[in-house]
Amino acid sequence: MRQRLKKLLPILAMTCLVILHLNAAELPTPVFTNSLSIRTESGFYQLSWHFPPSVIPQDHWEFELQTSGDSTFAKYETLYQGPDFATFLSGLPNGHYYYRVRTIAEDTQTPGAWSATVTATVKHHSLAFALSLFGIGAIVFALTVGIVKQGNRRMVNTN
Amino acid sequence: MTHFQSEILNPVTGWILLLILSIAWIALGIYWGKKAKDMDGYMLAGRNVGLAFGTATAMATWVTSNTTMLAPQFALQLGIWGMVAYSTAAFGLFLFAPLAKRIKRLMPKGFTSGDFIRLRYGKKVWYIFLIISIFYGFTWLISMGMAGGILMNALSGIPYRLGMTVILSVCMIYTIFGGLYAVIGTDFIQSMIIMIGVVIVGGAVLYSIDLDTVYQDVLKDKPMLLNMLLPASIMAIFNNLLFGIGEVFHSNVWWSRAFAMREGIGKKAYTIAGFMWLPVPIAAGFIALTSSSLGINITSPDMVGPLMAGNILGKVGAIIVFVVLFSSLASSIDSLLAATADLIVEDIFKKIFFPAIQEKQLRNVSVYVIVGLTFLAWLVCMPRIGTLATVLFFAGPMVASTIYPIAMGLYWKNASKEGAFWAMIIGSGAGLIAYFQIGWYTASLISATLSIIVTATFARWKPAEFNWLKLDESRQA
Repeated sequence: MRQRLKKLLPILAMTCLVILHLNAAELPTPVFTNSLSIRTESGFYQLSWHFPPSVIPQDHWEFELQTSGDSTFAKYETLYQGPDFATFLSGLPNGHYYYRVRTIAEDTQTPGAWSATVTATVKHHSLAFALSLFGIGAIVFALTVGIVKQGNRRMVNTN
Repeated sequence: MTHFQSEILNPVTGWILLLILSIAWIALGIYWGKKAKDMDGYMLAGRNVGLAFGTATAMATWVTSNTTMLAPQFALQLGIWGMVAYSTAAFGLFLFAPLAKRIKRLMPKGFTSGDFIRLRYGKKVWYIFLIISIFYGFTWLISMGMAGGILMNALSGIPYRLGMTVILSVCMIYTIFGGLYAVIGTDFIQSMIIMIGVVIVGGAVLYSIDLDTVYQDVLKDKPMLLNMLLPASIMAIFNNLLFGIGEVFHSNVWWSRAFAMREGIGKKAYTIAGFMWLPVPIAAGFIALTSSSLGINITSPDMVGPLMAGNILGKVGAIIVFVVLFSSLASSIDSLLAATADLIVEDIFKKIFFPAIQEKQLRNVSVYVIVGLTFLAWLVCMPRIGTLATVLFFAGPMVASTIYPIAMGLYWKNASKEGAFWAMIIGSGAGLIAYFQIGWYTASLISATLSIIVTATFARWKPAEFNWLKLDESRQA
């Protein structure tokens, strides 16, 4: 019995590997619908992806979205795992951010192949420029209040 | 739907809520609309609106999808200053309060904001103003139709197109039946629902989350949202404030209410409405910052408000949010349909093409215009273009360019038609360039800055000598 099991074990292991491989091969690779090179001065952007038209999405598929500070993903963080086809990112400081997404079979947790990498560059507007516009806005607002207040006072006096 | 987002309520619950609310608003609209016997009643609610209804309609109209859905979007995109920036739109109501008094005094029998521009500056400026105003009204309508579809999809999984179609149709039906009577009447109920709902949701959110955890999570995942020197948000503060002032100063939605309120009511009603509205965007915006702590994926920034409230408060919370947001959307869509239709019927149809048209025929035309506007908005809403902010703020530079032709035109005798014309052209043009070259968060600011310079320069160097009595057409008749 034991000997039979010993003989069966490699076959069983091989079969499992083949099944896993087949599952992985079956899982389609998502494609980013946004540009693969994002540049922003506001620190927010949306990442979205879809399947090629020939793929019919299955209920048991979900996505894993990873981010990294370098293009090799040597150190990475999983930003999202679930069924949604997009995610919105905001509040990011200046820097380069890399993203990739793949399909995962929810039941077996078997992953598919990674998508192409999105590179996002965040470079905020200069503070001097922002403060200048803020100052102009404050002056324009003060003048607007002045126009209404002065006009109202004049109207009351005329009456 | 490309950006599939997991929903909170099941679609059956969503459809039941939608059915109950739709029947309620249509029935109430028809009931209140019975008072509208003539055109003054249909367009301006008999010019006899008191303080309670006046305050409620101003507040409910200003609590639109733009407040309940855009304020959280602002917080998610621009952080702390984003919430503050959104709440500055209350200054639109505060500053319009004295203007409402002035408008009522100068034009006791006026109908639209277009009437003022035509009588004050002549036809050339009037045409430009009509283009701007109708474009803005239409953009606002689209943003709210989209918001309705997004809301129902995010909360209950009702397909975007179906949800959007239902909310536009319901508002169209009761506006047709009751005109401004129906709009103001339903606004009163809707403002009560909004106020109670915001207090419940705000209180429940504060009770169920740990502020310290929220702060730490935002600091880790979205650090710039807590940065008081985030450049985009610094620019957005006065941009949004001036956009809000432009929206209120020029739009017939607010002018028609100023005409509809009794003498002496407008100033008080707009001031109280401003104070009641002020905390709403802060309360609505804050919950967007909790998304990091709760690990909820946000696929589109305009969905963050309803999604977070629904997720924090569970199914009951999602139902409250659904009702509050449906009410806030309906209260603005009806107002906008009525006011934009008035502008088209009164300013274009009657004043330009058929001056001798009978009152009964004019009311029929109003119905066709309301149906046409709804249909056009529905067509544009079908493909979900951009986020709510990008759609609405596209009209920002145009409306901001009208602030000074309106404000100076109401108080300064020397504000001239040339100044008003070039202020709108140069302000809108420069603002649109800023929209595309810098970002939507600068467009209204640039436009308003140029508009004030141009209007004041012309008033100083090429002054007019306007006779205020010309604004009262009833006196001229």
